[in-house]
Amino acid sequence: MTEQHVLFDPLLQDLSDRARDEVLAAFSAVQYAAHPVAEVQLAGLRDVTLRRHVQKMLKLIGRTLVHVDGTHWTSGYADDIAATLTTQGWQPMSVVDRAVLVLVLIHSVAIPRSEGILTGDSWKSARPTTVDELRTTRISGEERRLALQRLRAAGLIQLSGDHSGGPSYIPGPQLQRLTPAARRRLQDQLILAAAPASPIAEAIRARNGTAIADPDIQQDSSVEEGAA
Amino acid sequence: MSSAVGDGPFDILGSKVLLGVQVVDLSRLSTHPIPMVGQGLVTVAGQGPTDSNGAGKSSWIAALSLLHADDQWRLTSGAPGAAELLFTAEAAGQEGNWSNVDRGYIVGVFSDPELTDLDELEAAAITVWIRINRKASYIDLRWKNGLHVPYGATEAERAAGADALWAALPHSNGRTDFHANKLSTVLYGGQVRCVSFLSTSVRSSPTANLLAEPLNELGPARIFNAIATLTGLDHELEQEQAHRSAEHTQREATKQATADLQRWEQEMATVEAGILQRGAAREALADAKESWRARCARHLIDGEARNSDIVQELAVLDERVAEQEARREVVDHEIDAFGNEEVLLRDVQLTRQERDKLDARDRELDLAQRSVREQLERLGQEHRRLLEAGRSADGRDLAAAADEQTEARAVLEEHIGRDHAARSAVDYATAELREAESGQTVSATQQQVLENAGIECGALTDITELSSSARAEWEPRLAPYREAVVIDAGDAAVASAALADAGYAGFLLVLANRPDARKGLRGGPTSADKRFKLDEFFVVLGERATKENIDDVAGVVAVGQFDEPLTGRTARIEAARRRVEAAVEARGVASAALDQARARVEQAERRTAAARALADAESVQEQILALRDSIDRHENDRDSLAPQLQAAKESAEAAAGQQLVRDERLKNLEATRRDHERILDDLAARRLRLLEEQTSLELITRATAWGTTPAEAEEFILGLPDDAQRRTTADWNHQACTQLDDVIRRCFPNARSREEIPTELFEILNGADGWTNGTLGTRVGLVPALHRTLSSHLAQHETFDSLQQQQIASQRAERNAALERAREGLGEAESTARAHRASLADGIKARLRLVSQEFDRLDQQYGGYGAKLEYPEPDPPAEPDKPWRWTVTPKWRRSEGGPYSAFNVKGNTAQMDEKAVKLVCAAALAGGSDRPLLLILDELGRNLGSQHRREAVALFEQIGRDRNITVIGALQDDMERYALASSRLYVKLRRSSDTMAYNQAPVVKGNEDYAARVELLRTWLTSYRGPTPTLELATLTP
Repeated sequence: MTEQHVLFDPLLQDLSDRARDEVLAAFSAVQYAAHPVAEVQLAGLRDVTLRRHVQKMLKLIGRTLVHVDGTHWTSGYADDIAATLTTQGWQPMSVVDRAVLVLVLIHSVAIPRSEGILTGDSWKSARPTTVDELRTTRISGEERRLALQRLRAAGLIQLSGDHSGGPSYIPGPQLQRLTPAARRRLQDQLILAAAPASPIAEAIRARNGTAIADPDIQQDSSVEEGAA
Repeated sequence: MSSAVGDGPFDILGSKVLLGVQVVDLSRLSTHPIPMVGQGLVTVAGQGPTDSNGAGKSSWIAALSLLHADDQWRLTSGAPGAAELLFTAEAAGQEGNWSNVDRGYIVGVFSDPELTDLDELEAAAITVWIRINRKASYIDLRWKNGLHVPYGATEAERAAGADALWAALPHSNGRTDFHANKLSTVLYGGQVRCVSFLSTSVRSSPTANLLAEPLNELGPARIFNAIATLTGLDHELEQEQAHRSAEHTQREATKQATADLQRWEQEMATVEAGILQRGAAREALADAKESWRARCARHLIDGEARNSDIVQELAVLDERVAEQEARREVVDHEIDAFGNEEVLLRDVQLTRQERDKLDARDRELDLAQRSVREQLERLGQEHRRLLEAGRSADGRDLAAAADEQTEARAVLEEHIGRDHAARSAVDYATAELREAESGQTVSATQQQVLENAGIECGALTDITELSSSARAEWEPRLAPYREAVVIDAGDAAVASAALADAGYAGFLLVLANRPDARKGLRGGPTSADKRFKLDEFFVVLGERATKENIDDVAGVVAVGQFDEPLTGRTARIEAARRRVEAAVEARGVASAALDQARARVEQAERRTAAARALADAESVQEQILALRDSIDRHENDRDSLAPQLQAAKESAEAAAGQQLVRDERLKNLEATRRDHERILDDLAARRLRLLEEQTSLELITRATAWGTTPAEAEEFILGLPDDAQRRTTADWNHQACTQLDDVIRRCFPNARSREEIPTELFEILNGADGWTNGTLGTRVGLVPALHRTLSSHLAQHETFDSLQQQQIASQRAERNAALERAREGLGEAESTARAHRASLADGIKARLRLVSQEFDRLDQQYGGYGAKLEYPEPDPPAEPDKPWRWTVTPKWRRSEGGPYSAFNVKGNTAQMDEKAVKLVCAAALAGGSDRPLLLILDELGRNLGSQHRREAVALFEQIGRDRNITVIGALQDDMERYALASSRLYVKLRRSSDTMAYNQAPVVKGNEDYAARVELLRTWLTSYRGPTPTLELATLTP
């Protein structure tokens, strides 16, 4: 039977059976599917009126619709909610986990993007990061292994299909839950960290109008917004 | 309804209608096939154990609604509610006997309703199987052309065969089956086929629909939705929504593009500002370089001028130095001349040496003389002492004295021996006396033994008291017992044993205190010790013996006349004392003799020593004489030395005077020389300073900094404006530094962290002696490095900047074009949507008018006073993603000729329901579609009075007759009477007892007109016996 939810009832009251059904299906799909859902599969996403309802439902629980690749949808934390959570010190990931994730993002996304191989602002990439590339003296092998396990379990990274050079990782589907603002923030922080003297960095600083904070922390706080 | 997508099966049933249905393992329903009619009213009654309830009516019609893809099942979400239709042992009260089923089937046989011939009917038939699973996916769909239904003689047979029959069906969707979400599309092409009101027990939708709720609980919008669904308007509306979706997408794209452009412009503004600043910085740097060049020229010229001054002064200095050196040389020569008077120096030295030698000799002699005198004095004293000592020699010479001494010593030794013997005698006598006084003179050891054994005893001789007159008489008698010891008569045995043990055999014991003792003798011995009574002993001795013949019988004689009394202690002590006195006297005599001998020895020794001293005095006298001779000799030597010494002293003094004069002159010359040297030093220092200054001018560096010759520098300065020509190097320095500061500020306008500044530059600016905190002097030193760094920094950015500027320009154009395109697209989409909406609004209004007319007609025909619909055209949505909300307000007259009042004005509930049914029918009738429609009403006629119920049933029957509509209604008990007459098909589900898990076979009856057809269909359905087709059929690919 339908879950009777006092939160959503006022929103769904006016909908017909079918519309209500479509909206609930779409809501569940974007919330719980591991990967973004194709727009054509669900009328609740395809139809803009129904999608508006889905968005309203998500807003009630602090989340928002995220458009992926123009054809898919998923959900992520709304920017203001993410900011509030971050301010309150919500940080489910350990320092090591964040460091490993950043390494994967740098090798799989940031570098290919700077080389022009990747375009757009998505944090999806087919360029695998090998275990060798993750080796660093600051993190022991054991710590790294555990961190990779946790990150995989959280969907922040996934195994790449390319096993020619041992196991290798690519960014996980959860990163697609990042809102455009979160994606931009992540990219900004990477630019500030990698090329602080570049004109782009200058522009970013001018836009933010803030002094440079520790880039790692900001970056990761925006990353984990996707970890739902 | 979704527009059909994909190439899969679509609308396979089309206008075919349900002709038979069979369910397996659903609720408690039996598995019998139930024939159906294509139009008109079908009533479903139940016969439970007590009344109509409990027979499974609701479940059965719910299964029918699922088969007809009713939206209430939430098909898009997979129809999870369908699982609740499955047979559940607990719900059936059969948990003891049966278990829950995991899956059940709804089998529907569809065909064309017009066909009457069985063969044709079968040829056109499609059997649809819906498998309901307990777990997701809840619904699987398969179908097959022709008849394909479970068969068997009993329930169990039919149920058991179902799985195999399902497996025999082809997969509906390639390798899998279609699920709930495709049910409507595949079977009915997405058209509404069923409007239903299901009772709450099986209904899965929490929302109201037209039939399910009192009409006034629905809003006008929902009423419109319901009507739109029934009339097929929803397709049109979906089209409109699709247009609006497109419009929305375009609008979003435009918004996105605008925001993007704005953000990009903001960012680029910063970048462009940076580029402009760098351009300005380049110009400022050129200015700074120019200033620096001028500064270098000025610096070089100043340096050159100063240099020539220094060179001139140096030449003057060199001349003065030469003069001074000449003067100094003259003095030097004079000084050298003194160095040649060596002979004089040697003479002075020799004279001095001679004098020193003689002087030393004189002193030596003087010293020797003094020591001899001292010696003489000492010897004289010695001689006098010796003569004095020799006086006590008494005229004896050394040999005689020695003889006397030897003799005296021999005498002394003899006297020493005598004296020693006398001392020993005294000691012995004294010891004896002490013994006598202590009393333990007789048998001391034996007495000790006895005392140790605890026996009182005493020596007989000590105890016996004898007067002197009786001595001669008694002493011989007692002589044998001199050693005996007296003890008490009672102790005799113990004492004997103790003494025997101690090894004193043969010892005599006298027993005292014997009983029956006689009185003692007068004038005889008595016991002095009160402890022992010896009277008896003495009496016996007196009787038995005479004076000498102490034992006449044995012939023993004792010799008498003892010196001292044999008995009594006093006597014995006296004797011992007398012996001591005699010994002391003898020792006094010996001692006196010894002292005399000693004195004689001492005298002899004294005489010997004196004789020896006299001999020594003679030898000393001889030594004195010899020394007096040597004194005289020394005196003579000194006297002869004196003239020589005097001459040597005089010559030495003369030589010293000469030396003094010479030294004075030399000192004067050297002072003069030092003056000259000081002047020379001053000159050299001045020269050094000048040279240093010359070096510090660093003309080469200045020339390098300038680049070419000083003359050209001069020329360059002359080429500058007048005020610039007058500037000093310091002015130029200041200007160059200020200009460079400007350049830095322009290059790094808000440099806060070192990442933004190239490392080299950062070091120059913020290093230890950096630009930022340095003085002007420090800054001047850094100018060339800063020039170089800034130039390279700016040069690096130059190409990048121009490239970026080009990129920005092209991107700006591109983005603006994209925005323009997006705006165009938006405009187009908006106009399309608007146009479509306009035409759609007309269509909707036309359709609603039809519905309204039909509604009015039905209402008046079936007991109403007239009704209509109001449907104002809504404004188009403000935002494309907001719904275009149409509303329909049903109104009807409450009395004949009365005004129309709106549906939600409180009226009686029955009227509300009746109007709802009419409205549904009106919508269905006005739909214009010839598609079959199924209305399902659980609890038909709920809330209706009997008249209304009758009318409702008639209405349904009529609708069914007129239109391609089937109404399935579940009946309340009391309705059976009049429902039977008007329904084309009557189905009665039966269950006789709660103890049975499954229903009995239902009763299925057609009315008069349809009884034959129903029978035909039933026969047809039950005739099926497996997959072998009753007719050869071409298999259509699904």
